[in-house]
Amino acid sequence: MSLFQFELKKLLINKKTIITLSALFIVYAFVGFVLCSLPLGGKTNYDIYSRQVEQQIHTNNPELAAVSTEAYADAKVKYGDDDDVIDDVAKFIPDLMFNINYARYIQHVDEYYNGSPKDAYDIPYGINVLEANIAKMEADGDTTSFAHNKLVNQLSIEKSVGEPVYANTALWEKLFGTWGNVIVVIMLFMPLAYFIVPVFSMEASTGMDNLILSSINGRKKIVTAKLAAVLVTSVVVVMMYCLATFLANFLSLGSFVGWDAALRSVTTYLRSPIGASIWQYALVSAVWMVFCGGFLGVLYAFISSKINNSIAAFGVALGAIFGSLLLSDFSGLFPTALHSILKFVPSDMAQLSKVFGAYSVFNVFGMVVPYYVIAPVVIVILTGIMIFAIYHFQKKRRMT
Amino acid sequence: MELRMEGICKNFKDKNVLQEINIKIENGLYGLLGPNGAGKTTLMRILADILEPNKGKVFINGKDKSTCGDEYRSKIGYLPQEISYYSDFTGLDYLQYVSALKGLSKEQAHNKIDELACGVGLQDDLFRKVITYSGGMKQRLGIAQALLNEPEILILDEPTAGLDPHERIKFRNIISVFSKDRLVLLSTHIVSDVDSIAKQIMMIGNGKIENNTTAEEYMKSMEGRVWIFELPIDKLVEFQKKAVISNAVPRGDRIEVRVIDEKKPSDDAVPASPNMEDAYLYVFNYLAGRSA
Repeated sequence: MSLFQFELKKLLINKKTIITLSALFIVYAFVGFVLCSLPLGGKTNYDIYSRQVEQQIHTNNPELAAVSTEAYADAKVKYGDDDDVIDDVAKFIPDLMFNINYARYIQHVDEYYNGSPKDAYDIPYGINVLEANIAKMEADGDTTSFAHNKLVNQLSIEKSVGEPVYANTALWEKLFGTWGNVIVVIMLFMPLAYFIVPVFSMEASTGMDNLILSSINGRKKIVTAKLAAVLVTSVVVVMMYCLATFLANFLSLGSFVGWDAALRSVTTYLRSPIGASIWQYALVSAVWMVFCGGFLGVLYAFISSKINNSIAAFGVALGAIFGSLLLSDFSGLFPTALHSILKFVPSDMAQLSKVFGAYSVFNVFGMVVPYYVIAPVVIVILTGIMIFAIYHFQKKRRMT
Repeated sequence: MELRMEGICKNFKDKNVLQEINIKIENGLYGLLGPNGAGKTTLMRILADILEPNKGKVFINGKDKSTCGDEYRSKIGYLPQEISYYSDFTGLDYLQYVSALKGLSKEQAHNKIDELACGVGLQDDLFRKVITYSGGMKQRLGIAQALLNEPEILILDEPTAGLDPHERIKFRNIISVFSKDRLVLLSTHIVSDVDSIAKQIMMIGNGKIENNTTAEEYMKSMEGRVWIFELPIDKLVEFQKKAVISNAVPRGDRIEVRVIDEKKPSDDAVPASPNMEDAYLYVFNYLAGRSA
C-alpha cells in the first residue's frame, strides 16, 4: 500500500471511523426527516397541498390572489404576525397552506418590481426601484461610479433571471435549508473536525513522529499523503451528509416534485442572482459543499499540524468555526470597513444561502464582482496558503 | 561511515541536557551507557534528525548533517525509546507503512519484511493487530522497522526494554552481526546489553560524555578498585550509605559484599576481577558521589 492508502486507513477506513460515520449517517437522516417531513405536516397533508398547487402552477391568477391574500390576512389576525407560527398551524390544513403560500408568492412578485419597505436604504431591490435609482444617479451626472455600475448590474441580473414563479418547491426549500443555512455548519462542518484533526496531532501524541520525522518520506511525501487523505475524508463525510439528508428529505414524503422549477420559486432564493433551475442548483450546492468541505478539512489539518494533542486540536477547530459564526452574527459591532472582510469567515462561505442567496457584490479595482465569484477565489488562496504552511511546518518540525 | 559530533549542546529552557558533546565514531557498535535523565535520548534524537541542537554540528563523512536532509535520513534507522502503535494496524501494516515512509518499493518491502519478521521471530504474528502484541513483541517489531532500509547508521534507544532474557540475547546477536559493516549506536542503562558486543562504550552523565573507551580498557582501569569482603548482615544498611556496593550475597549470618572503592575498604577485603557493571558504578556512583 502507498503512504496515501495508509493515511486513509488511519483517518477514514478503520473500524472506529466507519462505526462513527454510520451513526452519523443515521443522525443526518433523522435530522433530514425532522427538518423536512414534520414541518410539512406529514404525507397526507402534503399530498393534498401538492394537488392544489398542481392546478395553479406557473400561473398568476388575480382571483386566486385575492382569495389567498384575504386568507393570509385572516391567518395573521388569528395566529399573529409570526410566519413560523402560521406555518406551524397551516401544515395540518392544506387549504390554508396553499393560500398562504400563494399569497406570499403574489407578494414576492410585487417585491420583484417595487421592492419591500423592509429593504435597507443602501441595498435597494425591485426593478422599478432600481430603475428609479439609476435614473436619479444619471440625472446627477453619475454614470461611471461603482455605485452606479452596481445598480446597473443588479438590474440587468434581475431582468435576466426574471420574476419569481409559483411552484410546489416545499421539499426543495427544506432540503436547501438543511444544506445551506447555519445548520450545515453545526451538523456537518463541525463534526468534520472530529475526523480530520487527528491527522497530524496523533503522530505527536503516539510518538510515531519519531519514526516519521526521521524517515526520508517523513517531511514532504507524508504531507502530500495526509492532505490527500484529508480531502478524501472530507468529500466522503460531505457526500454522506448530502445523501442522508437528501434521502430522508424526499423518501419520507415520496416525492421529488418541483425539481425542474426555477430556483426563484424557492423562498430562500427569491433574490438569488443565479438563474438556474432547482436541480441545477442542487448540483451546484453539492459541489460547493464538497469544495467547502475540502477547504475546512485543510483548515483542520492546518490546526492539527500545530497542536500535538488531538483533543486540544479538536477544541481549537471547533472554536475557530464557532468564532467565525459569532464574528458573522455580530458583524454589526465592528467598523463598516471590516464588514466586507467578515463575509469571508469560513462559516459564512460554507453557507450556500449566504453565497448564492442574494445579490452581493464587491468592488474589485472598480469592477463589480459577485460574492459567489470571489468566495471560491478566497477559498483557493486560503487553502493554498495553509497547504504551503503545513509543508513548511512539517519540514521544520522537531520533537520536543 | 564516519559520524562526528562537534560541540553539541542542547538546552530545554534552563536545563542543560547536553553540554559540549564531542565524539567521532566509525563503523561498529557503540554503546551509550548512562542513568535515566543523562541525556542519552536527547543525543539519539539529534542523531535521528528529529531534534536540533542549540549549538554544535553533526558531520556525516565530513559533511554537515543539516545540509544533507533526505540523504541523511535515507541512511538512518531509528528505534525510539517509546512508540505507540495504531490500533487498526497489523504487524504487517505497520512494517509496510514504515517501508513506505522509508521509500522502499513494494517488492523491496515485501522481501525485507519477510526476512526481518523471521529474524525477530514475528513471522507467525504479522497478520495480528499490533495492539494484541506483548511488550516484547512490540519491541521486536520496532527493531524490525529500524532495519527495513538496511541503514548505514542504526540508532537504537533503549532497544531491549521489555525483552525477556532469550529475546535479549537474540537481539544482541542480530545487532552484533548487523554492526559488522555499519555504524550502530545503542543507548541503554543495562550494562550487559553492550559490554560483550560494543566496539566502544560511551558513558554519559549530566549531559557530558564522562568516558569513551573499550570494555577491556574500562575493566583494566578498574583493577584494584573492586573488592570483596564479608560483613555482619546488620551492618549492611549503614555500610551502603557510605560505600558503592555492586553486589551483596548472603553467606550464613554474614553477607559478602562487592564494593567499588579506590582504597581497600576493609582489612579483610580482597581484590576482585572487575566487570563493566563495576565500571558503570564507579563512574556514575563512586566518582559522582565523591564530587558531590
